[in-house]
This record gives sequence, structure tokens and C-alpha cells, in this order.
Amino acid sequence: MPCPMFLLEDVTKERHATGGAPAFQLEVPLFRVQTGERVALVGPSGCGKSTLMDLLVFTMRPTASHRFLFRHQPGSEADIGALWHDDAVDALGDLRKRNIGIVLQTGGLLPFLTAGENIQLPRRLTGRTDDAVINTVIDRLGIRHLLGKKPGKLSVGERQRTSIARALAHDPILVIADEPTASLDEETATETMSLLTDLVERLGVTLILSTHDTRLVERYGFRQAQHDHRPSGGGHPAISRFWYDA
Amino acid sequence: MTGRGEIPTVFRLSLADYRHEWQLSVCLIVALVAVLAPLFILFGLKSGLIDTLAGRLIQDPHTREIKLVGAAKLNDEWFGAMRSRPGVAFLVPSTRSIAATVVLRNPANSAFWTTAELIATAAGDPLLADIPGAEPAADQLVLSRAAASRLNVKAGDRVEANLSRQRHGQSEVVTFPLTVKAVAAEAAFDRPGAFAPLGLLIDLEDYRDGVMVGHRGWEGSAPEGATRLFSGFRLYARSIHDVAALGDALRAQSREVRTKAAEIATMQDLDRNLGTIFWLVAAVAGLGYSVSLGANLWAGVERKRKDLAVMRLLGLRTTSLVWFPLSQALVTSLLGTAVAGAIALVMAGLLNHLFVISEWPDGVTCLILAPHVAVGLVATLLSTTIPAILAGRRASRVDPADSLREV
Repeated sequence: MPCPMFLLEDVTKERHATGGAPAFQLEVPLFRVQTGERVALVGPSGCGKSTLMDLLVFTMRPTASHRFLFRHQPGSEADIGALWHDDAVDALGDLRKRNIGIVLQTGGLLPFLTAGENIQLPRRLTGRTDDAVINTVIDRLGIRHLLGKKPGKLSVGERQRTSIARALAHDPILVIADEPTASLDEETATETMSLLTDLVERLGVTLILSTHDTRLVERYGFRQAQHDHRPSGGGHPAISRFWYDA
Repeated sequence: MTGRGEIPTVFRLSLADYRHEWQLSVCLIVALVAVLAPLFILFGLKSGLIDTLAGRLIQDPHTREIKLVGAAKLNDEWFGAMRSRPGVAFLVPSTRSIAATVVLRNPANSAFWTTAELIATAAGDPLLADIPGAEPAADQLVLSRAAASRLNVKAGDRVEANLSRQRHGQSEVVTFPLTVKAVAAEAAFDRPGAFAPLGLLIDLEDYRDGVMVGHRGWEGSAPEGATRLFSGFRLYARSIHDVAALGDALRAQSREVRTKAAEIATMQDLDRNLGTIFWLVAAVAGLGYSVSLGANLWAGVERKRKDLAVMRLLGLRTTSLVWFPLSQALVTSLLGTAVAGAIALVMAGLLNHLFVISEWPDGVTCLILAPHVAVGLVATLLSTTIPAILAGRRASRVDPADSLREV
């Protein structure tokens, strides 16, 4: 069996209330994602999707982890648990910068750059010079006429398409999309999701999506991570569990 | 891209944000200009006035003069010892002033005449320093401007000197020709007078005392004693800083002297006090601006928390993000100092035009030089760097996960 892109075993994250006792606990007994998969984290607000997304983009330190591996190129794995243990925040940032594209709920574009400059930023940071892929992405998303505009002049849907272009601009192996359609009307959401899934499939990019909309999962062929939730009570914190294995 | 390689990118991002929020940026620059321009002008006024005062004191040889009050009896040994003292720039004996007064006439037109006080001079006379080779030879004079005007003569002309005395109850007069070597500047001696070699003054004093002056054919009694005693001197210190010490040395010999030491001390006190006031004002203003800029940058970091989080999410390193507010502070410092310097220079020109110091045409009221602006820039950079780094550290600690949630 080939080594998966992500392998998390017995990873937990506790969030503490002001008093100090754990108020919420995310448990990930197993999360194994293969290259090219489309995985959806589905659940209502507060179920721990965002916490798991934070862990997957290396912005949140796990409380404990048995194994937390990320294969960023064939035969080369990064031990994320060890990097967190060594407090190697910049090394984790480098891994994210080179390998992961991120789509945020309302785009997360920098307001002081034009759409084109926003798209170019990850390419500049990773030293990419080949324009062929990004030109294809821009044309496919139909945003070439928007490249000179600042995000403040774009509609929510245009911002989201620009955000998708930025996420794919540096040729990542993985795109993480956090509720990418939550702010869009149904028609725009459908169009945006179609473009996103079409592009990641064409480019062979793995996609992990968080959403509260189960219809998206079915319509666009995502495989859904398993999830259960136990509310707090009786002195124990709320516990949310996500697990996934293709 | 390494952390160091990211810095130009962060600098570009920071400038893009600076341009995007140009109204806030202009406010930051205006705030700096509002502090810095008055400081430049204040410093320029301090420099200009002190420079002019000090320049006048330093360049005016009268400031360095130590005047003897009353008459003394000074021999060559005393003059030799005095000349060897450090701090003495010029020392020449002088004769009694009553004996050194002559009537000068224009031989071409006797209607032009004046009573003139002859002043002993020698090589290196500070009062004649601006006339190269002005030292008069025997029977030559350097006339004061007032004397030259009354006599209607110029350099190279001849004048006639009349010297009178009472001897054995009879009035006697001698007349002898002198050549005008040069005409001194107005500031050298503002009354009718003439600078003359010491030998001529000794001859005049001897004649007045009824002593024979053989080489001029002036009759009189034989000179008494081998050692000549002079009643006074013209003494100039090397610099304004030597005046007080020379005055004290002469007072220690029980000689009453008059100096401008008090005026010099006043100027030095003024310089020191104005300097202290300026630096106090500058320190308070600089600290105030520094705190204000720090608060602005800090607020900016809080306001742009989401953008900074996105930058961290895109992989910019913590150390690189310190440069985000720091770059903006540096640009504010550069632009603010340039604008403040330009405004201050225009104001300095205006002040110098409005308040001309009539007694000192070369002096300026407000003196701002390029090095002053450079010092202002360095001080501004230093005072803005610390708050900017603090804000930058704040920026570098923004959690990239914030961008995932604060949407």
C-alpha cells in the first residue's frame, strides 16, 4: 500500500476554557488521505471541523499525537508531530507554503493587492516562473478581466474564484478549502464548486473540504470523513471525533 | 524562499498596503512633519543665533583684547615673559596716549586735517589682519577710515604730521611727512586715528617729554636711563577661550584690566542653555511622536490582523513579518523628514530674509544645514524603529489560524 499523503493516528487537540479545564476535545483516531482523493469534513458549526483544518494546515499544535505524517513528495515524509515538538513553526510554514493551497470562506484576499497580485503572491514566495498552469487556471475560472482590480471591487463569487486561482497558483499537491461556498448564493456556490473540483481533478491535486452542506458532498463526489460528537456533561468536555481511511 | 529572501517581498507588500491606505499614511507623515519641522526651525534658530553671536565674538578681534586700565611701567623683560605665555596672539608696547596724539594734515589741501591718536602696531596685528602686508614701515601709517575720510586721502598719499610741546616755557612745533600705507577697515578703529610702528610712537613720546630725538633732528635733553619703560600695551588673546585666563594672570600682577570675558561667558552660557532647552524640547517631542507612532502601528497591526494572518497562512515567516510595520515606519520617517526638512529650509530662508542682523551682515537668524537634516533623519529613524519593531513583533505573533476563523 502506498504511503498516504496524510496519516494521522491518535491525534488529539484539547481546547481549554478560561478556568483551565478542557472545554472541547477533538480526537482523530485515524485520518489517512491518499493522493488525488477528495475528502469532505461535514458537520454543523462547533463540531471541530475548523480545529481539524487548523491541524491539517499546520497552524495549530496538537495536544498529543501518535503519528502525524505528511508526504509532500514521493518517498519524502515530514513528521508534523516532531516539527511541532521542536517548535519549528517556520519549517511548518515552509511546508504549507510549498505544498498546500488554501481557499477561505470569503476569499481571504489581501485588500491592498490586485486580484492578479494576490494570485502571484504564492508564486513569488515559492519562486515559480512557469506561467502555463496559472494561465490555464485563470482562463478556466474566467477571471482574466478581474486581474487588475482590488478585492474590494469584486463580488463575493469573483473573490472566491480569485481565491481558488491563488490556491492553485504555485502548483500545490493539496488544496484545503474551508467552507468555500458558505457565503455564496446557491447558483454561485454550484458554479464555484464545479470550477474547484474540475480544476483539482485536471491538475491531480488532492482536495480536503470542510462544509456543513451535505448536498455538496454527494453532488461532487467527495468521500466523507466519519464523525461523531458527544456534548459536554458530567464533568467531561465536549468530544468530537473525525476519522477517515480510504 | 528563505526568511531573508522574503524580506523584499514583505517590503513590497508593506508598501502596497501603505499606498492602499494612503490617507492614513499621509496622516502619519503629517504627524511627523508637525513634530519635526518646528524642531528643525528651532534648531536652526539656535544654530543661527549662536553661530552668528559666536562668529561675531570669534571673528571680532576686539573681543579678544585685554585692555590695561591706567598706566604702568613695563620693561622689555615683562613683554618677553608675557609673549611667551600660551594664549597670547599679539602683544605690542604702547606709549602714553596723550603723547601719541598728533595733528595730521593733507599737504595738498590744508583744509583737510584731523587730530589723530596713533596706535602702536607690528606684524600680526589682529586689527589689520584683513589687509595683507599692512604693517607700516618707518614713517608710514595705516589710517583709520574716519581719519582717511577727514583727511581726504587714500593709500599711497602723503600726510603731514604736526607735533607740539611746551619746553622751557616756549611752544615748539615739529612737522614731518608720513606716507599712508593703507586705510584700515571701519571695524578696526572707529575714531580718527592711525596705526604706526612702535619706533614712531617712541619718538613722539620722547619729543613730548623734551627728550632729544637725534635721528629726526628734534632737539631736547639727553635720554635718561638705559631701560625704556612703557606705560601700556595692546594685548590680544589667541582665542575667546584664552581671554579670561590672560585677564586673571594680569590681575594676579595687580594690574587692572578690562576684557570681554563676561560677554564671552554669556554667549557660552546662552549656547549651553539654548542647547539644553532644544534637546529637552526635542526629546519630549521625539518621545511623544515615538509613542504616537507606536500606538498607530500597533493599532494598524490589530486592524490588519486578518491580512497578516493570511500572509502567515501563505507561508511568510514570523521574522519576515516584523518588516511589515517596520518598512512602513521607515518610509514614514524618510518622507516625513524630507518634507519637514524642505518646509524648515523654506521657513529658514523666510526668517533670514525678515530678520537680517544689521550689525553682522554675514550672520543668519536661522541656520539649517544638510548635516542637521541628516541628524534629524537618523534620530527619527531611531525613534521610529523601536516602536515599529515592537509592532512588528506583535505582527509576527499573529496566529495564521485567525484567517481561517475571522472571516
